Formats: sequence, C-alpha cells, structure tokens
Amino acid sequence: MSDQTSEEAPGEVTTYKVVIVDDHAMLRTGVRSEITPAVDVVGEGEDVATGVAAILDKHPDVVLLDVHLPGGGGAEVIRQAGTDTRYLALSVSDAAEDVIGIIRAGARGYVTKSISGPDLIDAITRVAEGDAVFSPRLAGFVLDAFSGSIEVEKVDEDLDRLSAREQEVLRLIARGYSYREVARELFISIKTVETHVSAVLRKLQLSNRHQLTRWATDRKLV
Amino acid sequence: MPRAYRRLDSAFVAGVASGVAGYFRVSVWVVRAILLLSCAWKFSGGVAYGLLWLFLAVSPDERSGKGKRGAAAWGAVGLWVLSAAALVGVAFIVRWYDTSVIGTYALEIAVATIGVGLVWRMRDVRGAWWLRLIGVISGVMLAWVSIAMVTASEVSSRVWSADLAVNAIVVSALLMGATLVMCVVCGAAWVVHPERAEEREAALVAATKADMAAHLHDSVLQTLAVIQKQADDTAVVARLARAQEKELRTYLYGEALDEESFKAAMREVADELEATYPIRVELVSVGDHELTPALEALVAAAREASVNAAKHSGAEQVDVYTEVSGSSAQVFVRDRGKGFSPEEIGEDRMGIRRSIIGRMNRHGGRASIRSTPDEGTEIELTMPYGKDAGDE
Repeated sequence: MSDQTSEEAPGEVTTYKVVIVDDHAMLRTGVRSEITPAVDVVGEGEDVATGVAAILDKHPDVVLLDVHLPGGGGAEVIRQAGTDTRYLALSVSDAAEDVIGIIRAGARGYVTKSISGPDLIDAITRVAEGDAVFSPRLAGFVLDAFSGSIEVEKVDEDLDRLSAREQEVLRLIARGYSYREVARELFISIKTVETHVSAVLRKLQLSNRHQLTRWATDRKLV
Repeated sequence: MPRAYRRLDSAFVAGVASGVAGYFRVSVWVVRAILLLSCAWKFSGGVAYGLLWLFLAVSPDERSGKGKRGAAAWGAVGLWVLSAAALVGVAFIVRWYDTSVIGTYALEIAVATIGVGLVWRMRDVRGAWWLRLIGVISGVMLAWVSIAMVTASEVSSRVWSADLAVNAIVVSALLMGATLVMCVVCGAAWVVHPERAEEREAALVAATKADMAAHLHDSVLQTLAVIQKQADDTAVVARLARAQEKELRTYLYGEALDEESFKAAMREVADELEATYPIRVELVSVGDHELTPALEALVAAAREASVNAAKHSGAEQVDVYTEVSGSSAQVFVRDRGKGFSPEEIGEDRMGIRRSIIGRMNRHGGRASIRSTPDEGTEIELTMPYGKDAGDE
C-alpha cells in the first residue's frame, strides 16, 4: 500500500503511483479494488487538507480527484498541491461549471465515476504519460463552449478556436468512441488522436475566454 | 352531421342540387326549383350553383366505384340538354324585364354559363380522353361564342372612336381579356379540386394514426413485454405499470413535453430508460432548441433506438449524443453490444422499421444504421427542425 518502489528501470512495465481523494470512503475502497493490480494506490484523502497532505507526502504520478470535496472542492486541492502532479477528475457531478472549472484549474482529464475498471486504468495511464483524457460528457461541454456562444474578450485566434479536425475528434468522443475507435474512424493513429485531445485541453486551460466557466453557469446545465 | 357531397348518380347537371337536398333532407325538386327561379334575379341561382359545384367534393363511394355512370351516360346527356334549355328559358325571361347590363346580355351569359359548365363537367366524367376533350373544346367554344356575341353587339351599338384602327385595337383587347377570364374560370374546377384536399386530409389522418401506433408500440407494448419477463417480481411490475400509466395519461390528455426543450426531453428519455432497463445511459448534449413537432418525433425515434439497444444489444451502456446546430438536430445512439446486420431487419422488427426509420421519414428526417456483429450498433438520426415553431 504505502511501500514506495523507487524509480523503475527503463523498459519495465511501469506501475504508476496513485492517490485517491474523495470524501466517500466506500467509493475510495471500490476504486482501489478495481485498479489495484494495475496501478499502485499509495495514499488517500477525504477532504482538501488530507488530500493535499497525501499528495505532498507520496508524490504520486496521478491523483484521482473528486470534483466536490469538503473544504473547497477539487480545484482547491490543485491550487494548494501545485500542478507538478497530474490530476484526473473523477465525478458524479455533471455540472458543466464544475467540470470546466476543474479542467481550467489544471486537471488533465475528466471521467465519470461510472467508468469501468479497465477504462479507468487506461485513463490513469494516459494522464500519467502526459496525455489528456476526455469523457464523452467533457467533450460535449467543450464543443458547446467553443461553438461560438461565448463572447470573446480578447481574441486569440489560435486559442479561441477548435480546428475542424479537433472538432471531429471531440464529436466522436462525445458519441462514445474510444481513442482507438476514433483513430480507426478517421484513419489516423492513436498518437494523433492524443495530440488533438491534448491540444484541445491546452486551449481549454489557456484560452482567454474568461467566461468559459461563467458560460456553464449561465446555461443552467443539468 | 356528415358533410355535403355532390351526387353524380342522380344528377341533372353536376349533382349539386341532389347533394344539397340530401344534406338538408328535402326533396331534390325543391332545391332545383329554388335554384332555377333565383336565376331570374341576376342569375344568382347560377352563381350559387357554380360555387357549390367548385367546393363540394364528389361523394366518396362514387369516387371509388365506377360503372353505374357509364351505363346512364346517354340519359345524363339528355338531362344536361334539358337543364341547359331551362337556363336559356330563364335567360329569355330575365332579358324581358331586367334592363341592367345583366338583363341585356342574359342570353349570352346563359350560353357562357353552359359552356363553362360543360368544361367543368368533363372533370367528373370517366369517358375516353377524346370524348372528354371534345366536351372541353365544345364548352370553350360555347363560352367564346357568347363573348363574341357580346363584343359584336357592343361594336354595333356604339363607336368608341372615329379611327377604325383604334376601334380594332379596342375590340381585340376586349376579346383577349374576356378569353383570359374565361380560361381562368374554366380551369377553376381543376385547380380547386375539393377531392384532392379531402385526400390530403385523409393522408394526414393516416399519418397521425401511424404515429399513434408507433407511440403505443414504443410505450405500452414495450412495458407489457418487460412486465411479462418480470411477472414474478410484483414490486417491479407495480412500478412499471405506474410509470406507464403516467406516461400514457400525459400522451392522451396532457400538454406533453411541448413547453420543454429538446435537451430536457432527451434527459427525460435517458432517465426513463435507466429506470426501466438494467442499462446505463451516457447522454451528452450539445446545443438546445425549443421542442418542435419534428424534434418531438426525433426524441421519440431516439428513444426507440435506445430501447432497442437496451433490449437487444446486451451491452451495459448506451451512449447517446445529441447536437443541435443551424437548422437541424442530430442524435447518435451507440452501443457496444452484439450488433446485427441491417439486412436482417425483417418486417417483424416494427421497432426499427416503423418507429425509427418510418417516423424520421414522415417528419422529413432520416435515419441510418451502422452495425457490425460483435462490435456494436450506432444509429444516426438527423432531423431538420422548423424555425416556424413560434420562437423569436
């Protein structure tokens, strides 16, 4: 559990270190049992304070972070623990403001708690390797946010627009396609799909659309 | 009270009098007498007859059945001639006491009326095409003769100008104008065509009925199927029955979903599906629009597609993606279940054929199905929605 393997030798199959921060003990146990053989759960947290402490103490590769936490929410954890660690948001909340909010705070992906074990392991691996993980729902929110319904304060052409290809990729993800299926559908490599999604993530985090989060509130999404 | 129809089997001219008499339950001779006598006052009976002729449809059983009219054809011609003679007779009386323009040209008006009547009559007749053509041509000739008669009498009674050329131009202009009016009047019977309007109405009724059947299939029959499978679990059966009752009540008497948005309606479908079947529905919506009838049909088709996935695919999750953009809305329903090959959709698969494809087509949309055995199924629904839904 807390035994820390030192740096793995290159070429070995990497077992990533994970910290789970969620206020429901039952969910932490459930997630842990689902992913344990494949990844190494090195710590847990149940609110902002214990979560930040666990992260700073264990230096995990990936933090599974609940959006809603006592003491300020997942975004506050990222603010205090810093963005050197990679975060994957895990939530039952589908409110767009929460999802977009935590992504803009620095999370590299968002999945719902109903995700299957193998899919979650996949997502953790992807985030650990520096890629982005978009659930269908997040892809939908991003498509909505960039569809031009938001006023742009300071126009930065590159950051405030999704390319046609990026839109295509997002739309397929929103339809429930895995990265592999997206790649097959568009006749591109999985690596290219990952590149597109990472580009979208960067735009989402760096775009000058300060109203991105307000957009979600205005629309009274679910 | 049923509507009035023209009755051709007991017709003198076009069956208007018999139709009206049948409608008011009076003797047909009373109606005929009133129509003919009222012609004595500026042909008002004739005008009324003409309008009724235009807007009353031929009775439905006569439209479908044939035969009887062919046998009585020669008798019908005799009755027609008799009616024409009666009209000419009335015209002589009118000319005798009425000093207005109508009175002066009563005879010509009667002849023109007979001509137009002959043309109109040809629409109802089921004879050989050349017989009907002869009828049309002679009708037009009659009407035109009356125009020529009026023009000739005008020319002889007054002179517009000393210049002969000017007179010639005026006369030909009059003739041309009158001919144009005559053509329009003659064509009216073909343009108005009340039978066609009635058939459109019938088609609309049929479409509504098909929609209703599709709806009942989607809701009640599906629920009954689920209830049969879980008959031993009384709690589940009670819940299903309650939910179905509520849904059916809303459909039959309620204001339905009209005031809601497309997105809200899809959300409702997803919730309902998760409550009824052991399946997870991952719904992602981009864009929204107020519900229009077309969008309601789209929601219903998407619902059926999701139900199919829940019932037949064997998958644990169905992904539903909706996108409203520009002037059309799209829904993708995808499962990673066992799939099927689209050619296998037999007539018995009412769900796909009628509830999805048929429903989409009826409202101007389209559905395409992509399915690979063992990999899953994706149903794509595209529906253009009207901007006429009363927003903005």
